[in-house]
Amino acid sequence: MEIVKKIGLRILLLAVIAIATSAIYKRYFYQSFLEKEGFLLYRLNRSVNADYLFFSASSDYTFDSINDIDTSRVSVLTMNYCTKSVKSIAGGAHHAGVFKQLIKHIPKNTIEGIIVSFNIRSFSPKWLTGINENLLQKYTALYKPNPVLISRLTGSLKFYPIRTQKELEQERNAYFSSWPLPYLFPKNTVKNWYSNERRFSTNDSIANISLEYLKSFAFVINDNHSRTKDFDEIVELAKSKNLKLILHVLPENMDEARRLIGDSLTALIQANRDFAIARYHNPTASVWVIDNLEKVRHVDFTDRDFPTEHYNQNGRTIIAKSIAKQLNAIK
Amino acid sequence: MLFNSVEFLVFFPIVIALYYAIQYKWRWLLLLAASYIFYGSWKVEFLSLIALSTLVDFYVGKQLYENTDPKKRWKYLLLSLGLNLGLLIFFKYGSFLANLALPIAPIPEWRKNQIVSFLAFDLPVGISFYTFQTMGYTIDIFKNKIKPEKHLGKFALYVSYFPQLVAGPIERFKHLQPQLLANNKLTYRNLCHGARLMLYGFFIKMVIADNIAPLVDAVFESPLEYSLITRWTGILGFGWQIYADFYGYSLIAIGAARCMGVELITNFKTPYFAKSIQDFWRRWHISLSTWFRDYIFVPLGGSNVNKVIWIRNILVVFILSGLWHGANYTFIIWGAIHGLFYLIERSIKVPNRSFLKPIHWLKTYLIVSFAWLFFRAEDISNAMEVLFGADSMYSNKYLDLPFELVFGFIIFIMLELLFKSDSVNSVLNRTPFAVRWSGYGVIIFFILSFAGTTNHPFIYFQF
Repeated sequence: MEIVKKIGLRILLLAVIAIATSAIYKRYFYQSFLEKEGFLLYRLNRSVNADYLFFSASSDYTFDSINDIDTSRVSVLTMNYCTKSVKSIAGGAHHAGVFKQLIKHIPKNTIEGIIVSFNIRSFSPKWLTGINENLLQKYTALYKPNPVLISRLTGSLKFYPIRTQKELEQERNAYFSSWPLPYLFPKNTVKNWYSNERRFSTNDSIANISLEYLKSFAFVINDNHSRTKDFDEIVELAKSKNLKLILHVLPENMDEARRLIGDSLTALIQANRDFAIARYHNPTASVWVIDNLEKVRHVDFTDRDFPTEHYNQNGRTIIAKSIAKQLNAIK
Repeated sequence: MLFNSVEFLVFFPIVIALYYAIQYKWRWLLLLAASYIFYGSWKVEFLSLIALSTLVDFYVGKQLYENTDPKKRWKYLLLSLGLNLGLLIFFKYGSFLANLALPIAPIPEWRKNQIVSFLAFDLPVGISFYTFQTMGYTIDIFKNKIKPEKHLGKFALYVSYFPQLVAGPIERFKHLQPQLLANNKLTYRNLCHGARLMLYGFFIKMVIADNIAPLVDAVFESPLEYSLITRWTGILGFGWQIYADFYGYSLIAIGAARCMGVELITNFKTPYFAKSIQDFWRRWHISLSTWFRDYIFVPLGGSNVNKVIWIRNILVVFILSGLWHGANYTFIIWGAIHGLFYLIERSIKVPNRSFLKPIHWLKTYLIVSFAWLFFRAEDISNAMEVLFGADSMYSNKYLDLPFELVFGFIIFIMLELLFKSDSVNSVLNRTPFAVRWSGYGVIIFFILSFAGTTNHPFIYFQF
């Protein structure tokens, strides 16, 4: 009995320390922690005075500051063509899984709506098992709307999925060999496709980039895809928070995909775009899907050796105008 | 399952509760099951290795005890050493040795690639620790110092006891086994003392080591971008990172065992207060240094030999202890630096006056820190880059020391000074309740608020 009393008293003391710590931490240290390690949430907390929040990855900003005269982000350029104020919540390689946690933090009735990039490539096995995934999982854990100290502890105790590079690679290869494609052999899986075409086996730059395009875009999005579920949740969140939701399908380098692989690949990309529109576009429920997939030409993509969604000034302006047009159309 | 993980924070209280709740005669089974769950959480396949090592050493231990024929006994001992060292060499040094041998091997290129990819597997966690522990067991039976364990399950528990399984302390059978099988009673004292050690361990691992780690990584990843002072900050930082990391782990391990009434051996005694290399090794990773002393240095002749042999023995022990950490020239250099300075210190008689103590301390600290440079570096050229830098106008980046690390480090040093001459629990037992709990409050506040969030598992897990 004596031991129970002693332990009970100490557990009580520990609880008091934890409560005091939580209060002090939230009051004095949490914001500076976010500024350093959870910048998007830090920014979001300071952005609720805008009309729209713009959730995006690196496609928002320029990677060609030497040639661009105007290096503004897509989100900033959008404001040139509409009357709404738009603030960017963008981080490199971020995807819908991270965005949905951030969106949960938006207080009800503070902003009009959100614009979320629909990056088709972010559904690919390469992105799902990319080198940034561990870090993004950490952000996802940190951004969950838990009490601040719990959120902090999930980060410091690494309570999120962490996979080694080897595990990620194995998972990626499993996707390539098992995800079915709607074609006959050898194009029925990514692995069969590249294993059975001679052009992928040579070691020149064309073969390398062709392979990258194949691995980045040859897949079919369906209802069970984890990213689809993330977007489903974003739609539900927007509805519950009374937010207008604009999903804009990011332009992909279709010219290059067609040149390197052919119509069998571009058809897959288009089908995935069509899936997004069919599933989410519903103006009566205040959800709009903007189709920008084929609006930017090859010359306006800044990367030449890897498929990305990095656009030059002209490319970003095309996207900004398209989004602004939709914003202007929303009553 | 890392100690600083949610999984362990759930797993451990359950094990403790069950340990004291079930009948004494079943405790070994509970601990064995818990240990295998703990170890299997990394990779279930790794369990087969520890099981193999356990089975062979159990059998060898029995045979060594029952056989009196010296030839047979040697054969059995060699079987144990061969298996454990074989596992170690295959898993830890296989890839390194293959890379040395393959360039000159008369086999086709495709076969070489096959061998390289075959050897590119994950290193089983803690393999260096449990193989050394079981080798110590069979050697002790061979030397008639101990009697073997008759019960396979209870022996398996000695090999796999989860608090010290993956990173030590490397325990001797004579010390650990009777405690594991004792009818330990639930006492407030054991729980309290264990919890204190674990709390302090979490503090220095999560607040000190995990916050230093990103700074050290930055310097070693791109040393040419940093100035001389910053690079040395990185080198000195690594010395504290590895100490806080390993000492923190050891404290959690010792604390966890203490909660079950088991006292593991002390692995660290404020090593950075050492005043010579010899003194450093009496304070740093004590369970490994005493293992090398008892099972390598003494059988080689120890100190009772002529000077040349003695020098050879010292260098062998230090270089082997370097190699124990991994298959890389950097570890050999690390061990050799310690060995050389040990020999130099022993050869030069310096008066042991009290006013010279700070100089001895500083000299030792700088030698140890210099050796850490090689321990941390990816390879020798990386070590050279960190040491010499680029001497260019672009080498001007600096490290931004976060305030939580600075304050946490000050607390750590103050506590180190406090625990320098006595154990953590002895000091805390003498401290008034209010002061003690204020201290706990500060430590808990730091752990909850300022623990590092980058992914840095315990450094010694890779060994």
